[in-house]
Amino acid sequence: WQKVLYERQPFPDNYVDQRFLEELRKNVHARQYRYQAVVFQSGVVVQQLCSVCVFVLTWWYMDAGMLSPHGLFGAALVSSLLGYVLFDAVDGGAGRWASGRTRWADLKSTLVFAAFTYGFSPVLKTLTESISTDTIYAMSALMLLGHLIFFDYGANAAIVSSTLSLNMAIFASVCLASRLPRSLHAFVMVTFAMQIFALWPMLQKKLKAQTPRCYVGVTVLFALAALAGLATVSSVGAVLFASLLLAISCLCPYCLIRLQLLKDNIHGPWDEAEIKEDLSRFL
Amino acid sequence: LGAGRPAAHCVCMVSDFFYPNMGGVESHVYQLSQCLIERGHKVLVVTHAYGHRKGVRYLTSGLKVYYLPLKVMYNQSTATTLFHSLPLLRCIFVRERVTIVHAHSSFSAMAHDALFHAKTMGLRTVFTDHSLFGFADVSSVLTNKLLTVSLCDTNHIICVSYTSKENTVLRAALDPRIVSVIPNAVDPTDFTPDPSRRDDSTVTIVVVSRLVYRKGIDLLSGIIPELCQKHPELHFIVGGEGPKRIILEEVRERYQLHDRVRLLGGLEHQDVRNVLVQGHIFLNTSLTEAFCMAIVEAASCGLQVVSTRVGGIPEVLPENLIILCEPSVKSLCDGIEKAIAKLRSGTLPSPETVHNEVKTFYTWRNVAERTEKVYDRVADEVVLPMNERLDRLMTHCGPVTGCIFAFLAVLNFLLLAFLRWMTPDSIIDVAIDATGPKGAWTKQYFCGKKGRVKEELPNS
Amino acid sequence: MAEERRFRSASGAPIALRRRQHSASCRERGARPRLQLRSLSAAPPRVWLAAYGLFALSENSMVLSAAIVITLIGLIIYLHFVKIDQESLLVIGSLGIQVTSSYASGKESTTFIEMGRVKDVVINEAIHMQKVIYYLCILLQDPEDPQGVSEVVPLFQSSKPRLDCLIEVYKSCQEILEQRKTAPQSSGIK
Repeated sequence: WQKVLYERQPFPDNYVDQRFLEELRKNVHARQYRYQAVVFQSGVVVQQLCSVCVFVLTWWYMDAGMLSPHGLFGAALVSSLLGYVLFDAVDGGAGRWASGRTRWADLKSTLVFAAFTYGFSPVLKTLTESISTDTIYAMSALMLLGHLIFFDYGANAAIVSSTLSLNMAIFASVCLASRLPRSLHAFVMVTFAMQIFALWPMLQKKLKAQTPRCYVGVTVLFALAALAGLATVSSVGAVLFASLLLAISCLCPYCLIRLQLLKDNIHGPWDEAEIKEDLSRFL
Repeated sequence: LGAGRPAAHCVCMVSDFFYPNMGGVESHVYQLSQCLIERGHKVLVVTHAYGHRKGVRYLTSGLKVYYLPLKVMYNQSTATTLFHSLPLLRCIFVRERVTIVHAHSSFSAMAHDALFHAKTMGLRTVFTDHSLFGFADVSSVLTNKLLTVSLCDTNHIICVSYTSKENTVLRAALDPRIVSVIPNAVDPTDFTPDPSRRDDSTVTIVVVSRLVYRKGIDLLSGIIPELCQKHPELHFIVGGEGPKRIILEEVRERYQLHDRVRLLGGLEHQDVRNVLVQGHIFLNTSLTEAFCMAIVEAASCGLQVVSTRVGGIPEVLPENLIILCEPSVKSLCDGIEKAIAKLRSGTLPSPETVHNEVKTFYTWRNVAERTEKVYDRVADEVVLPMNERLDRLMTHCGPVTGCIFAFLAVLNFLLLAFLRWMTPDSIIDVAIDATGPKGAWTKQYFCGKKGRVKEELPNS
Repeated sequence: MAEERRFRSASGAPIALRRRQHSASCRERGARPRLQLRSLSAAPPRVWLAAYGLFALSENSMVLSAAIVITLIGLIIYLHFVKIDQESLLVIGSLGIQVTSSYASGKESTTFIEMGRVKDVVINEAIHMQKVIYYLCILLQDPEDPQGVSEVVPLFQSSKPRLDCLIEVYKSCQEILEQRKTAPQSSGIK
């Protein structure tokens, strides 16, 4: 018996040969993960959860009057400058060289953003006055959840959209800021949201790529800080949040590796061939 | 022919894809039906309405086609609710006294609906799969599950190549013994060589396919500049239409190949031969293919075939007629250069010898003969009664899907009982058999006792 | 000479076919659905019963009077415009074909097709609602193209007889049409 169609063979059409399915391959592209690597990669998720937590805590303190806008603004400014210097220092200016962006351009966009936010902060303050506070809270919670869902954690999936994610976070911050007592509060809140949701992930990404050890340290510190802050507000919340972080960084990687063993992926000559070359050079 | 046979079947071919739509499934259904009618069976085709073409039509030798007014959802496939087509299909199955329902193509929702209803009505079912499917992504996981449900109680399955059989057996978790391999065929008289039509001062490469991603047109866009720069006497003729045409036009523009790369656009089936005979080499860059009819047609016209080694293609032609390559620009260029070298040195067999060799491989008569064997086999089998069918669904298709579809099967059965109560089988008129040499279309029948049945519109 | 035969319609309801032969080249066919009045007469009492139920609940006598008025108007419209009691086909070899449908109220609508325009009378298949049925139709000649068909006039649209009945009508129509073809000069009603 031969696996050819052009010859008449002395077998019935439904004949099943020994060689049936001999070209079947299983789990060709299955990856073997190492536990530590997966835990390391889960740091991004932990960081982002902590960012949201810190943001909400800050708002809480400001709303309760325990944190003055001046103090927050000062702290944010100092940490931003520190981060800015660090951003270039980590890779020795290579990234800046590659992007070709000048410091003057950075300063200009910062100033424009600050000026606009400051100018519009009275509007932000009164923007949602006619909407009930419960609606605002629900909307903010939904938007922050959306931010976490659509955030670019490094996965290559259709659902990932960093612009949508950032926009949702900013929207949540505007909603929450409008419930603060004065327009200066609103201004500081929105600026802080920008720093923690837009600038901080960029620095993290660079840290992760250049100095993985340092990144692990920063993640742990950041998580501990968020937990400590949460503990001052609600101890039950802190315990729950801690168990969530533990589950994400320890339990989920363990499950992934265990379930990987059960993978049963079939390959064979029927698979659609992949074009592996880069064909754009011809165009 | 028909009179002596003890078991003449009445076969109902169901597929969303039929003329006036053009393609592999369509011509398969048409040619197979014609050859089965020639062998004395009664065959009818059921498909959905194409534009104004709805109702009942007759084609050559009395092949009756029902164009049912069902809504088309996507890619010429009808929407399915699993129930709405039952009244019409039941009426057709009863009035035509159908014994075997033969559904075509796993992309056709109507084919699966018909299988579902036929099993409810206790008719024998056969399914032909024309395509290959992967297992990796979510959409194929879902469609494979549906195929499992649809095929778990189907009497027999036909695949067009051994690779396709392996694929279908895995996808639908079937017993491989109820799956037969019957290849497609090509009418060799339509594809005869004509060496006088080619220009022997140049080397012409012909590509005839739909210009879509799955046919590897991206690869072609790399091959054309690569080879045209190396061989100044090389010409390309590309027949076919599709969304990837734009990248071929871009390549032609970029490398200034307007006089050497001809894009013909969409081709009618009868024009394909005239395009093929103008070339020396036929190139097929498909990324997946169950059975590639195009390479058989090209070989039948006497061309040297260069093709990717994917799907069922290695089974189709013997090694002396085809050069198989990996699906990459480099490998395909090497293959074409090998063919050019053979052409220059004159070691290629003449188009006539190639044609004479290929024309024995695949004929529709042979396909019909083998399909008839499947019908004979199926006719002796028993159709699962309702309780066993439910049992099979629940044990075979997983606990959740199985139960859902068992429930739907029960609903379908109740709907059928309701329809039988509304219009009993006895008051549905038996259709007059117009197929074959003894059909209502021959002279002797006109003189007979029964009324003449005439077709509605003159333009069909 | 008149005779009546019983057939069934495509939906299974009994119908009666009455044929009357005036002469060799003039025949009349009538198809009449039977026993339909019973179902018709059942409709108003049902509406009234429902209305009385509503009246008992709401104690508003408007409901009752409205129900009576609506059923009466509905009945008149139904009998006058919808319900076809009898459909007949009169074929006169030298003159033409007359198609008459009589409504239950006695209203009649008549179409006449002269013989010169009639190309043929045939039985055809069509998808009607959720069924595939046979029907009888007249093919009209296209004035510009002698081979072409300009229009198809379906017959017995409301009674929808089954194939055996259609063949009966078809055969006698063909007989007359044949006569016309063999002797086109011979005059009509004798």
